[in-house]
Amino acid sequence: MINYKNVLKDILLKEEEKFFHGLSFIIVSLIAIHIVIYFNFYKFSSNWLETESKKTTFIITNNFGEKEIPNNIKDKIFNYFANNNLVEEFNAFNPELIKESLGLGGLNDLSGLNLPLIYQVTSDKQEVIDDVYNSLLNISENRLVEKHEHEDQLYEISILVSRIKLVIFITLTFVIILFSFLVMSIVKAALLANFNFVRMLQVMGASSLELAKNISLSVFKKILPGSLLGLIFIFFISILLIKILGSSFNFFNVTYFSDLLVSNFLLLFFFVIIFSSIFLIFLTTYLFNFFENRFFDKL
Amino acid sequence: MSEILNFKNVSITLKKKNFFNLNFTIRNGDFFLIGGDNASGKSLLLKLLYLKTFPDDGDIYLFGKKINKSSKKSILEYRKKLGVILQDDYLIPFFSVYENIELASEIQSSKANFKSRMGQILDWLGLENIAKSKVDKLSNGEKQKVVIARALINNPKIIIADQPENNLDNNTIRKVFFLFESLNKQGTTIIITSNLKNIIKLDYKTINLNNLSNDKL
Repeated sequence: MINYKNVLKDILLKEEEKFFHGLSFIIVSLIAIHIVIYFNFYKFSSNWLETESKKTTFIITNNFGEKEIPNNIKDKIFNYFANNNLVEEFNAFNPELIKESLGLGGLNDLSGLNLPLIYQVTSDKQEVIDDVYNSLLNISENRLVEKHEHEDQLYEISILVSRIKLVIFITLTFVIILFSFLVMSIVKAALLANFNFVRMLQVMGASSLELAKNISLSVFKKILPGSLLGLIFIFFISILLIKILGSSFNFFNVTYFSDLLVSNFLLLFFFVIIFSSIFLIFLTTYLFNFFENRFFDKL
Repeated sequence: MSEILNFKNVSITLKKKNFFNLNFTIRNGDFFLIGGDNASGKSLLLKLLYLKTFPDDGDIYLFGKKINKSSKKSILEYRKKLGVILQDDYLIPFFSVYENIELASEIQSSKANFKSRMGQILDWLGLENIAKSKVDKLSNGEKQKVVIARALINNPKIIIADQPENNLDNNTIRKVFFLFESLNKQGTTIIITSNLKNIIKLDYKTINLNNLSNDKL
């Protein structure tokens, strides 16, 4: 017995099969890379912003004539932090590191350089930071203590990050819409080129919904191989990207790296399911309207 | 006899020209001959009859119910009961004769006694020797036979034919009209446009589109 669905597949879009494979590979790769970048960037930037915004830098400046903060005060400050359970983390900046970062590594101790004491404290509670500030004022015996909350400085960075995310999201949406319209136009052109066949189906009483479903499925089957190949390709590209760029985010941790790969795989897998479902519904609806408008013209 | 279609003041505009103002009823078992000169709108009227297109003015009643936006389901059911033979009708060129006829059966979901019906029709129209030939290799006369066979394969309740005699030899024309008459005697409704009204031996109704007089209605 002849299979009506195969007939549709043979008559419509037969010539376009290879083109569909290539097109779906390129476009789905493009969409998938946007998805990977968007979600990973979202994750990285959110994690980074969250961690950074908890940090406050305290700079304790030496009194006039002091080469550096006296050791007894340094010890008191260290003990204060070590015994303060409310502070999540604290970190004293090494004077040599400060000198290096200022490009003054070559200067010896006899130079007139006075280095302040710098502590970086992590806590998301404002009252803890205020308490630390007051305590440092007391412990440092009223030396100048400057407080720099990173959250304030991160405001503009977070706006920039949001803008980058928005641009990626808009590009992603644009590519998806472009792809859908392109496929739709090709299907429409194929249907119009075979309009005598469509007219024959109409006269025989073929249902618009059945036709739309069958044609959508055949189009979907034509774009599926290219799309899957595109997704696999992007999965490997994402591994490569994380390997290359990951060092800035301290991804030396093997567990974290493998978790990231699994989450990327799941991300792409869910993307396939959601994208396929939306694409099928969209194409079926479009084709249903296409046939209804022609099969029941003027009704 | 139960009513199939009822046209009330039906007219249609095509290329700024207004066609018809028709009032007639088609009942089960009717044999209609639509006559008229070239470009008088015979094919257009057939399109209205197999509900491919719908009128700009007037109403069509299908099985007693006025056709409107909610009639899509009954229109589809009606189309499935039809056997339509059109001039230069579409056949899938890379399919065989058998497959082209079989496709109609699949689309109209009419698979009961398919093989015996197929055998009879191929035999009757002299297509059994070319059943496996691809349609694009056939002559125009053979293609017209395939179109007729495809229209008849599902034992349609209504046959609508636009000059079915086109491209056929005299012997086949007689056979086809004899078949139409036989089917009509068994209750099938036949609506045809043809220039060969003398060949029809049965009592039939006509719609003459030249002067729009519905003779014998």
